Amino acid sequence: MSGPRIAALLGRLEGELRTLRDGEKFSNKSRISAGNLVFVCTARSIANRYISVVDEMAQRFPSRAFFVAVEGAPTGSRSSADSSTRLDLLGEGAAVRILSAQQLEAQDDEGPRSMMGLAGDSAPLPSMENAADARMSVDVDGRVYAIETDADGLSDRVDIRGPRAFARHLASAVDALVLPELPVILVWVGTARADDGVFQAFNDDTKRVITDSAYAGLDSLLSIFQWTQEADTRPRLSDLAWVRLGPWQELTARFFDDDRSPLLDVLDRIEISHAAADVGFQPPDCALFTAWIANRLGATLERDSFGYIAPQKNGRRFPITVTPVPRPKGVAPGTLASVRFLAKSNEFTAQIKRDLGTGRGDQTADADLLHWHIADGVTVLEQTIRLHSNKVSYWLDRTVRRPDEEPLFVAVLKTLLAMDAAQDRAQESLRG
Amino acid sequence: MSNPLREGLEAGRVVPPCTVVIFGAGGDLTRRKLMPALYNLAVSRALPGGFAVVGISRGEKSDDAFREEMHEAVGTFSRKKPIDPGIWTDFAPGLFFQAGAFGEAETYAKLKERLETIESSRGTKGNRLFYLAVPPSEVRGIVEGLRGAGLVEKHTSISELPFTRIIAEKPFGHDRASAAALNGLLGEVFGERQVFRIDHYLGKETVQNLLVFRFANSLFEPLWNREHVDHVQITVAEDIGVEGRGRFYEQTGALRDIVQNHALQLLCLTAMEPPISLHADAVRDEKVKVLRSLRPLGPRTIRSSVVRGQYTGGFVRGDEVPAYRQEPDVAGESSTETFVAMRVFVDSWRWGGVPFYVRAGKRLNRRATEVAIHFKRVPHAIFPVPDGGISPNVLTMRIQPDEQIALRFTTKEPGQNTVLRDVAMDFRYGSTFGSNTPEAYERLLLDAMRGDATLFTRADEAEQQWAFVEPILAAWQENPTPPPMYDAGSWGPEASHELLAADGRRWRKP
Repeated sequence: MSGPRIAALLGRLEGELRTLRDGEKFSNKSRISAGNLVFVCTARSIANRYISVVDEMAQRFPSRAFFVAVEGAPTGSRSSADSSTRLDLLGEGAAVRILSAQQLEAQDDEGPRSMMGLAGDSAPLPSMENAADARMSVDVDGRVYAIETDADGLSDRVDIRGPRAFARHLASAVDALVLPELPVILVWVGTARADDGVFQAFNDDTKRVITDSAYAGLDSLLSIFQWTQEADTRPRLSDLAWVRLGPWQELTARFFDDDRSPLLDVLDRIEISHAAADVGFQPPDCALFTAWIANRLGATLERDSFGYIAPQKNGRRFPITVTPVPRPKGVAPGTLASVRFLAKSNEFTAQIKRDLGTGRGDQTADADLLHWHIADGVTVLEQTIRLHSNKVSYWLDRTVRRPDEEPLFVAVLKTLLAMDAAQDRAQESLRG
Repeated sequence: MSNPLREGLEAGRVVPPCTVVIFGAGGDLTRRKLMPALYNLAVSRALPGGFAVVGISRGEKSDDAFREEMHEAVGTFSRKKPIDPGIWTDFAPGLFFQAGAFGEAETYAKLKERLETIESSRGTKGNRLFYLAVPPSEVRGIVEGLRGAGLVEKHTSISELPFTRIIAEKPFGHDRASAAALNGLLGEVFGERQVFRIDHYLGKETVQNLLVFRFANSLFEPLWNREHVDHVQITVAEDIGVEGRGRFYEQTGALRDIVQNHALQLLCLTAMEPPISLHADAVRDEKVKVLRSLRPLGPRTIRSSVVRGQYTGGFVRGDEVPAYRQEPDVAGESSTETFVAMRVFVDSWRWGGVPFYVRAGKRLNRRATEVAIHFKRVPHAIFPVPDGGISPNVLTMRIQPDEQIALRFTTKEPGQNTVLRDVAMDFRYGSTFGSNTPEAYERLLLDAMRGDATLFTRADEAEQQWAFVEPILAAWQENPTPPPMYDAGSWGPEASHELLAADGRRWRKP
């Protein structure tokens, strides 16, 4: 694609963005924006499904949202069929309405979302020349939409689609259109590799990158984490799977409030269960939760056939078992199902159990119920609590409102990396 | 020993297990505010594992009947609707009812017995938070009853466990002497750190944001003084009348109901120096310094600096509304003020000579609570402006009904000629952060359970507030002529406008 073509596209998009709010329909809308959200999606099958998440997020968070579909999967990434299956069921994503852009346009003036497609004619641009992936006969194109926010404001969404070979062009176009002075937050939809050129192209001037390891996998998360840590100029990393653990962490910490924290030094065992996942898929929720516990107890982690072993500084080694439970329909593989702490020869038990799949969007506005239970031989306390909304957009909203970098998250990821490094060393020495 | 799992979590502060005992469980405050707030806290997972509520009021009823009443109240008044059956099923068994008259010792003996049973079954660890949702006349009897039954242990530190705390609703006394007497009584039974005097305005997000706005932005604080500020206007305007509370309002009036607490709190937060930290006493020390710096009003200055008024019939939001004197339970010749406006000076290095104009009233043109900082005009106008000069900048912090911050400044109209135009830059909280922010009572109840008194009024603060308004009350009492009238739906009596006009200024129209 030639420079003038990109310039023409940009010129059109800039013009549309300028006139977007001039219409009578939006004249009374607040024009405050809180940031630039750049969603980058690297598989067409996922892109069409994720666009409703982008809209919901733009409704919650007044922003300029870019939806960039980079078509043509990089070599070695998870197959898009696997990925889209996981996205469909992504635990908390089960409630996301998946609609194509065309369907969304058809919804104009219906319900809370109001879409205004201004680029009625998406004049096709010439197909790429000299592109590595010639199978993808796609053009570079862009469109602009207005999205009314929940609070009487207005976000805009800029869609840009193009082949992987033009990733740098697409990233440059996004750069030209971001709202100045406001942070650029990259939401990476799919598996990411830090050495992937597309990933790097979109991270030139990003303040923060958000991934979802529940979907992309733990290796992807750790790979990006290592990359972000290599220089202060790199974006900070957030992960939706980590943020979704927040209520679990809070409720777990609650077990050991009120002078029960000494029990943490005498734990016998921790049992974690998750909705059954594909063979070979290591549920990130469980790994992050386990690493969080280990980190807070000053323990290291070792992998074992049943899960993990956590050697504590006081010399104790307690097992953390990770087992699958049947996965109800509509629940994402790997979703955290329960955690249970046992101490003092099982005299103390504390458990959070999730009613998997009870919080579907078509049944309740909120998510699954959690049953919190503690018994210490004297007192039995029970509480029923509901997790927050299942929607990916809800968790994205929560995530962007948290600090760019969370020291605890960094420490937890370092715990996981240390475990992997120790395992690698052990295997090396075995081979040696 | 601290809990290592707590470190680094988003919700850093722990809410200990406790029982909330509500005196006045049959009243409006419990139905409209307290129970919905507690339920909302349950929905947002903020309540501890060991938690219970005991409601006390006259008239026998079963726990189940009380739960049913509260279910209806929450369903009607909670900001989170509909009621989540999963949460309610867990929340409701923690609600209990105890019948009793607040003046009888037997009530407290039974309460003690009941609490011990509940604490054992609900795991609340003996921590108790007493909420006085009752008229001021009942407070003494309740505090003495609690003491008599041995339900209170006096603590000097907020960290002593099990804790016993008490929340007192406004109005806190009806003058300085009664406030001091109440403080004395509470001080005999509770340590000051156990007493939480509620002013629900302080639980509002925007009021808290006054501190953030001032002390987290380097742009404004250098201008926040007599060098740059011409004057400050604080408005607490309501468009409603007394809403069936005529008897209460006859005893209270706008000065006691609004100015003595809400308006003075807004003034304190606007005028205070930066606290050394966000610790409760650090913030309250600075607020008390402002109250002590308020120039006392003598009889002469009261005549020239304080205006009162009472509404007559008129039109509000298109509806014809009756005069105050035609409201139920209001005397036909009532001289109770429904409007107050005053000119106040904070005699400090920062604010010397800067007037703070405060007004509060009922049945005004619209509901609006705001603090407006009017900056000085530019010292020399280089632009040809025919209409009396360039308008000064105004920074407005709106608290009700829409939380927002607005800045008025001057720009040039596009064109060949230099034509100046005032424009406003608005920042609405709802547009950026959504409108489903926690109710003030949610935050305040949670803070009281946590033992954080930053957003509550300290004893000396309450007395200082009364000390400032008491001379006005005395002057009015000496001269019980009816206050000037103003039409419902207007912005107060003419004298209020004259108050500012005498200084060459005028009230904003919020």
